[in-house]
Amino acid sequence: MLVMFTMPSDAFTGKWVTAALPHSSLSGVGEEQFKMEVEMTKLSVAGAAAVMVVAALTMGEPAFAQQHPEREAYFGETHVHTSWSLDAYLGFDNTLAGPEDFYKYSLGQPITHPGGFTVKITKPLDWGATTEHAEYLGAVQAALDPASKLSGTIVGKSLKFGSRVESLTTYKFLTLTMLKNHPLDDLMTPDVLGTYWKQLVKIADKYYQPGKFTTFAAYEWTSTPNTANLHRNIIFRDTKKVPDMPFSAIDSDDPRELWKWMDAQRKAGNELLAITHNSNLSNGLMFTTETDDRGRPIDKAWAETRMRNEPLAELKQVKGQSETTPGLSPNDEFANYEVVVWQLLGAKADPREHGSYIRQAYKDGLALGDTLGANPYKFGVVSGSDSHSTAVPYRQKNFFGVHGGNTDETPEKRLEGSLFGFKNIWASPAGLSVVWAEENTREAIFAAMQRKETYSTSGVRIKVRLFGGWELAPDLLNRKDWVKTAYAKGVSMGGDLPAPKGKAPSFVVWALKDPDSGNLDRVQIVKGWAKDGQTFEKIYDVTWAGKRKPDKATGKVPPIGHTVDFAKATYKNTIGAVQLKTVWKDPDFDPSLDAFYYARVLEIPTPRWSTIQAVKLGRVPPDGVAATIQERAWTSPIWYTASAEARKTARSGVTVAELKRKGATALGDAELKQLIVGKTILVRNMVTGRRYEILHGADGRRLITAVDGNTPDLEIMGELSHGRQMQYEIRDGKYLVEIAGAPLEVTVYKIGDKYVAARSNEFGYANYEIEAEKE
Amino acid sequence: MRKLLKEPLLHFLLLGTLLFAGYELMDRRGEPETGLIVVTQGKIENLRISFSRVWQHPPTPSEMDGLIQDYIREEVLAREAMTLGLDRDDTVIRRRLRQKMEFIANDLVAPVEPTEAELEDFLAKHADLFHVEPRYTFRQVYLKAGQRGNALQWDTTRLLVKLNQPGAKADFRTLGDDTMLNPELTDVSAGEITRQFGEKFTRQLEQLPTGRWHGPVTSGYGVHLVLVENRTPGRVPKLAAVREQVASEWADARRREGNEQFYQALLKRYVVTIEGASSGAYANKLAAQGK
Repeated sequence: MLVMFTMPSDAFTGKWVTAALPHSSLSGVGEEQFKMEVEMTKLSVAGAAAVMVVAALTMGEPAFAQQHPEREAYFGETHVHTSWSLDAYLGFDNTLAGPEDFYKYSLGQPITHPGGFTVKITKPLDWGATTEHAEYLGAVQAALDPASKLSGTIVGKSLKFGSRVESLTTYKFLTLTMLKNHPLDDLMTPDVLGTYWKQLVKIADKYYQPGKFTTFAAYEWTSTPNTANLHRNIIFRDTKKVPDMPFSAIDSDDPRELWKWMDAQRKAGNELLAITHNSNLSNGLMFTTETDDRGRPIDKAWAETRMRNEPLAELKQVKGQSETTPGLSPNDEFANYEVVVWQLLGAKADPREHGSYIRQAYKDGLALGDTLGANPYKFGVVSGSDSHSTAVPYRQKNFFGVHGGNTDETPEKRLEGSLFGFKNIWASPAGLSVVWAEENTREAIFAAMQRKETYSTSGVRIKVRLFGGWELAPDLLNRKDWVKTAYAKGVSMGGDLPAPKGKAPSFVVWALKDPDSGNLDRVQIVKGWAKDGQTFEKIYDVTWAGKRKPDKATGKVPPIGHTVDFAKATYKNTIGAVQLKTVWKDPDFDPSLDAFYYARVLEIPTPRWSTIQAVKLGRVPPDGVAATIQERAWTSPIWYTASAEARKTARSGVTVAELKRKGATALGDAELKQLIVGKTILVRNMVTGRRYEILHGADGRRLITAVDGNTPDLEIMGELSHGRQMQYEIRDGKYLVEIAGAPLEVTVYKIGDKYVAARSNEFGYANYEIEAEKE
Repeated sequence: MRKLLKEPLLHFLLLGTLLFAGYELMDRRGEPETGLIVVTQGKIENLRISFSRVWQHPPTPSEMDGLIQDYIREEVLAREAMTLGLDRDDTVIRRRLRQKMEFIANDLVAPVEPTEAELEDFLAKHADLFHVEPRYTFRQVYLKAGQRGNALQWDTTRLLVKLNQPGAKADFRTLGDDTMLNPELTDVSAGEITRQFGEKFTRQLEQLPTGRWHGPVTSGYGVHLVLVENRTPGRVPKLAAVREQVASEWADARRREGNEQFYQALLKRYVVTIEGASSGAYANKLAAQGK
């Protein structure tokens, strides 16, 4: 806009900027910090530096794509911001390091962190893409790029004065003649729009070395309605037909519009995909079940459009993991890992968990597949950083902060500081995106992402393979060519089990530790399924280190213990395994129910970065975060879909629609109150057969007093009420409770002399019979 | 009433109203020609084309209407905001302006072809940026340290003897413990070895004499017996092999240097005073330069 170019007339007199701000990175304090960081870097990369320094740009090596028919794990980055992202530049003081610096960093070259110190990656990446925020990406340079129309006029002319123009002269010329007198509309012609984006694409091409290092044209679509994170990273298969302009949240912050645009791109021969990220900060809007993020009904077409465009979700990044929480998965003793409870920009109130986490989305996706006819949440997983510092820390031992040059660039700030209510201490090293691909090229890696043969790690380089099938022999892993056989006879992670050829499917899982990290504790299979609108999960320990025996009652393998020396913030690999592998058959398989299976690999406990840095500062590990963590990897699931025939054999539940057809009437407030308040009611869950006795006090609080006639154990309490909210309310003919931060409505229907209740989150099924009441 | 007239708050309010009215009057006078907004044909074309690029179809008349309306709204509000001085002391706007200046500066460094000598010099001074990694051809036999326990040392010695026997018949691929690790790697870089075997392993590989099996070599996985068949040491490449990369880095360095010069030239136009006693190294440096 014209006004933005107007400068104070005394811009050259010196009055304007008299009180120049000392820049933090140039000040004496900055130099102190620099020394400290160098010390830390020395410690962290230790003697490895001697060998690794030479990795640098690895130039002069033959660059050809080596073929791996049984596929190879390639570790990459799918989410990073540089100074070209407006918020990084404006908010986080990342004014130095641009997209080229990210690629250099990924290749192993030391770069300057926005905080003013030198950083170097612990292990170079195999592939990566910068994902600058698309919003305002095209505005800054509108009049400035030499390749633009403008260069033919002012800049171009001035440069023709000589090969080395004294830059200040040109600058004067520019500001005085052009910016003041030139009609801006001419400068803003479409030729010059999008040049920033085009430059990003050019940089991605420049660093692409097929077979060695793969880059992608990519950007972030930053939609944040009401501070809920609906962000997506958009990745293009190649740069042959990338659009002139990225579709940004300014064009529309509605995911449906984004998908429409993506569909049009695909139609024009420009293949692309979107990766949802930070669903954990979406306040329940990323994976909704009844309506979409802005309350519109969802249907089969919506589900299919979503899946066509969004085959992947980011599971772990610096602002926490999006797998699950202890609230959503009370039976998962490893769920309490890097859970970040925070709303974007510091918005108040507890965010909704339901709809924010991937495991729940997988479960809800199965139920939706049943009711809509298409599963909208059948995506695979990757990870990312979301670093705004250009450089990305992947290791606890080399965690140099993620939010630029003025927020978390020193150990003290990392342990004490915060931004918009986000405590720096909550941040964790970036996760890695891993693909199983035939070669390190755009085509092969993109294809792996599309078929979801991907997994996610917490930042470590665990290797994990997962196959599922009906004919995977128990002794398969003894064969030298087991991978080849598994591919031939089964499907790999991200795939669909074919029609049943046996009583239950088997899964081959193999995990190899990161040679520069902790040993492995165990491998688990996480299974989820849905029945009559209710969703379930079970976690199986399938192979583990040492001679531990699973608990007879719970089937769970006891904790592995730890070797952490808290005084030194170190650990020893004297426990745990180098490699874990097994063939596991689902012991609880029901062919009439859709299900998913994914593997989770856990390392032994190791010190969190906050513990390491506290110890270096002579402090005790800080409160509010775990002192140790178990690094991990999560695979994309393998799905089982029951055939129409198998579905018929399942006893199907009653839907609200059917009840109404049979003449059922919904109870009003007075009838509801009469039925439950001040009484203990007996509720039977018709899906599980469990009977719950629930006491509803006149004070608006409720309590589950018995399950199947016994005092409930915590697990079941959790399953039903998620252990937290005790309040209830009766209003507008609904019985209202809150579960995991999400309001839930129950409607009670009277049919004959029976009472049947339906929960609003069970996809139209009425699953609860109120059998009797006791005073 | 008299008491009220003496009330300081009232004075304050009256004074404030007067000032505001006066300011309004003065401001009106300074306003340019009643505020004219012309949506030029160029602007309309610009809106039309940017819309088409995003949505892959030209705007319908009603969409075009919306674009123009939105543009006018932005123009009005932006101008009013500027009149009120909302742009001043706004960190976001200041940063944005700074970023624009830096982009201008980037483009001001004219593209120049480096001379041969300049590139040679750059390569010599920044050898670490272009250093070619050492490469190895080696074989390895893996032993599970944990599983073998106390027998590990004996097993290592026994296997080493076996492997180093002249005309040894035993196939090294069948020895040791089952693993998914590659038993034989041909002409691979140190970085690739680190990727597969970890940092510790690569460090030890550097020291191993070639032509004989050695061990134990330890890694994050356990213990290995290793035969290094060939080692190509790391080196600084000849310019011809890396000319393109050197030229790119050279241009990059030149751009950074140009930006700094540009800033320093601008800085010379200002007299900078940093108030207060807490003057750090930067303040001292400025003082020493006579600023």
